[in-house]
Amino acid sequence: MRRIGKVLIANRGEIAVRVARTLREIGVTSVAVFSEADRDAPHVTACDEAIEIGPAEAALSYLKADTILEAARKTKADAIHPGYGFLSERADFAEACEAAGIVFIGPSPGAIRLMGSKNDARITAEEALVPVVPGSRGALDSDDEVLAVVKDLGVPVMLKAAAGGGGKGMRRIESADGLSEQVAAARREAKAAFGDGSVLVEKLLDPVRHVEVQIIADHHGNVHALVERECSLQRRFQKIIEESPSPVVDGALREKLQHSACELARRAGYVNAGTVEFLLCPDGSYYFLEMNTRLQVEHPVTEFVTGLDLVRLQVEIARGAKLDLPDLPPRGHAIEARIYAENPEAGFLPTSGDLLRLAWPEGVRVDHGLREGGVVSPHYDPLLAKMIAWGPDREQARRRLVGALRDTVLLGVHTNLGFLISLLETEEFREGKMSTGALPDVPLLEPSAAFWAAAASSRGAKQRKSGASVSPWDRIGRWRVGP
Amino acid sequence: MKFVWRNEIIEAVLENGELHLSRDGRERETFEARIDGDRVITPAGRFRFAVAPTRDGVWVTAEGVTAFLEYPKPTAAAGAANDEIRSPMTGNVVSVNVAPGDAVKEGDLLAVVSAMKMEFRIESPRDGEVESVSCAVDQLVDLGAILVRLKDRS
Repeated sequence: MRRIGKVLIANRGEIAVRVARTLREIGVTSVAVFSEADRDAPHVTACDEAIEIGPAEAALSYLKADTILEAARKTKADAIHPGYGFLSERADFAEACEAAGIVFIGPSPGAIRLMGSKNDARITAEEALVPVVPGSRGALDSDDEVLAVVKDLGVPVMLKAAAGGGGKGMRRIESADGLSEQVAAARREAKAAFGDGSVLVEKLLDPVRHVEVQIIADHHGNVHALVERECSLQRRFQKIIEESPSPVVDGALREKLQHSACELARRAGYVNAGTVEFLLCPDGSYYFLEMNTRLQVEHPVTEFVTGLDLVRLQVEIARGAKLDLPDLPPRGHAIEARIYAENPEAGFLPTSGDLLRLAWPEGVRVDHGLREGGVVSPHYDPLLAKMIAWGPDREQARRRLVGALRDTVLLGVHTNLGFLISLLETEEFREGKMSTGALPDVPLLEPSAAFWAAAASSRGAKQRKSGASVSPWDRIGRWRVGP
Repeated sequence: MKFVWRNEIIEAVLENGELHLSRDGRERETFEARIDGDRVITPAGRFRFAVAPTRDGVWVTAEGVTAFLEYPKPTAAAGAANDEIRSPMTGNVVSVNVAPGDAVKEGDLLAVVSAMKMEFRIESPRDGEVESVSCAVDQLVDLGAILVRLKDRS
C-alpha cells in the first residue's frame, strides 16, 4: 500500500473544490495551487494549504508541469490529483510524477498515452473487438492528406485534433464548400489548443446519441463498469446536459456497453477512473468514440445513481486497494446542467466580469468554484458550475432541476441559465429524444410581470462595488505556503 | 424606471401593488405585483428575485429570466456602431484577414479572435471599405476593443 496523507490538487474552479471536499471527508490533507488571478478563488480556501504557481495565463501556471511538481515537492504532497483538463491527460506529467516519487492519481503514463492517441485508441478498441467508427487510419498532418480522406469518406465528416479531447478541437464538416478553409481552421484550432496540428477524420453518424460508460479499475486486475451516462445534448461539442441512466438504454444494451468498455480498459491495461465514450445509433448499434483517462466533468450523475464517491475510489485505488464493488443497478435518475459563462442572447460568446450576486437553491447538488464579489476571468474555461438533481425517476429529476435553476441567483456575468431551463422544458428533452447533431429548438424565455416588477424595484437600490473584495482579513482562510 | 430590452425601451413602474409597463409606442399595461423580501408576488406565483444595479444598467433575475437591462443612453450618431468593429470578448487575435483599403462585403471575414480555447469569426456587418485595422495577430484584445474600422466604399 502506498501512503497518501496529503494530496496536491493540480486544478482550479469547481473540480478543485469538489476534490478537496472528498479529501477532507477521508482525512487527507489538501493542497491548492493558484495563479495570480486566483489568489482569492474559492478552491484556495477549500483546501488546507495553498501555493502560488505563476501568472494568470494557464500556459504559465496550471499547465506548467515542472512548476506543479515543484509545488508538490515543496508542500511534501504524497500524491497529485489532476482533476480534468490542464495536465490530467498528459502522459509525460504522469511520468514525471512517478519519477519524483509522487503518486499520480490516475492511470499509468502508458495507458494515458495509448488512449490519448486517437489512432492507437482505435487500434486498441479493434483488438478488444469493440466496434469503431469508419475513418482515417492514423493522424494526418497536412491539409492535402486531410482533404483527400474527407473527399474519400464523403461529407459529413468530423475532424478531430489527434491530441485533443473533452470536445476541444473538433469540427464538423457538413458540406464540401470552402473545404480547404474549414480544414485549415480545424488544424489551426488543434495547433493552438494542443500544440499539435495533426487531425483524424471520421465519418459523421447522424442521428446518433452520445452514451458513455464509467470505468473503475484497480491495480489487481479488477475492472468495473458503472451505469452509463447520456450526454447527447451538446453545443460546439461541449456537453450541456448529462444524465444517468440513458433514457434509451435497457438492461441488455447496458450489459453489452459495459462489456465493451471493460474489454477496452483491460486491453489498455487501464487503472483508476476512466470513461469510455460510445456513439449509439437508433438501431442499437454502437461505436467506440474515445476514452477519457481522467475523472469526467459529469461524474456526479454517476455518483447519484450508484451512491459511490468516485474521487474517494480514485484515492483508494492509487493507494493500492483492491476494488470490491457489488453489481450496482441504477438507483433513480440524475440529471446535470452545466452553467457556462456565455451569452445565449449574443451567439453564446464567452463572457467574463464581476460576480455581483450569487445564491444557490436548495435540494440539488451544486459543484462550483464561485463566490459573490469574485471575478469570472477570461483566462479559463467558461464552465462556472454544475447543478445536479436526483429523482426517483427521470421526470422528477428534471422538474427538480428546472425548479432549482429558476431559483438560482447569479448576477454580473451573462450565463446560459435561462437557456438551460428552456432546453430542459422542450418536448424533445422531456421525451428523451436527443441526438448529438442538433439541439432542439430552444425558445428564448420571455420576461414575465414578476421580472419587470423586480427590475422596477431596483430604483434607489445601492450600486454594488464591482469585484472589490472586502478586507482580506475578513476572508483569511487557512495557512498558505508562500510561492 | 426605463430600461433597454432587446433594442426596445421599456418603462416599468411599481407602485401600490401594481406594475405599469410601457413599451415603445404601445399602450401601457398594468399587472398585479408586489415585493415581499426576496420574493416578488404576482398572480402567477411567488418568485425569488434579485437585482444588482451598476453604473450603466441593472442585473435582474426572476422567474427563470436573468438579464442585464441597460439604462437608455442618448443615441450616438447613427451608423457609427456599424463602422467600428469591436471584439465581442476578451481574447487573442488569431488572424487578421483584411488590410486598410480592402473592399469588403457583408459577411466577409475580417478577423478571428479566440478565447477559452474557441475561435470566433468576426464578419463584416455591411458592404464597405476597410479604413483602418487596429489589431494584430497574437495581440490580446479586451471586450469592446475596436478591431477594424469601416467606411463607405470610395
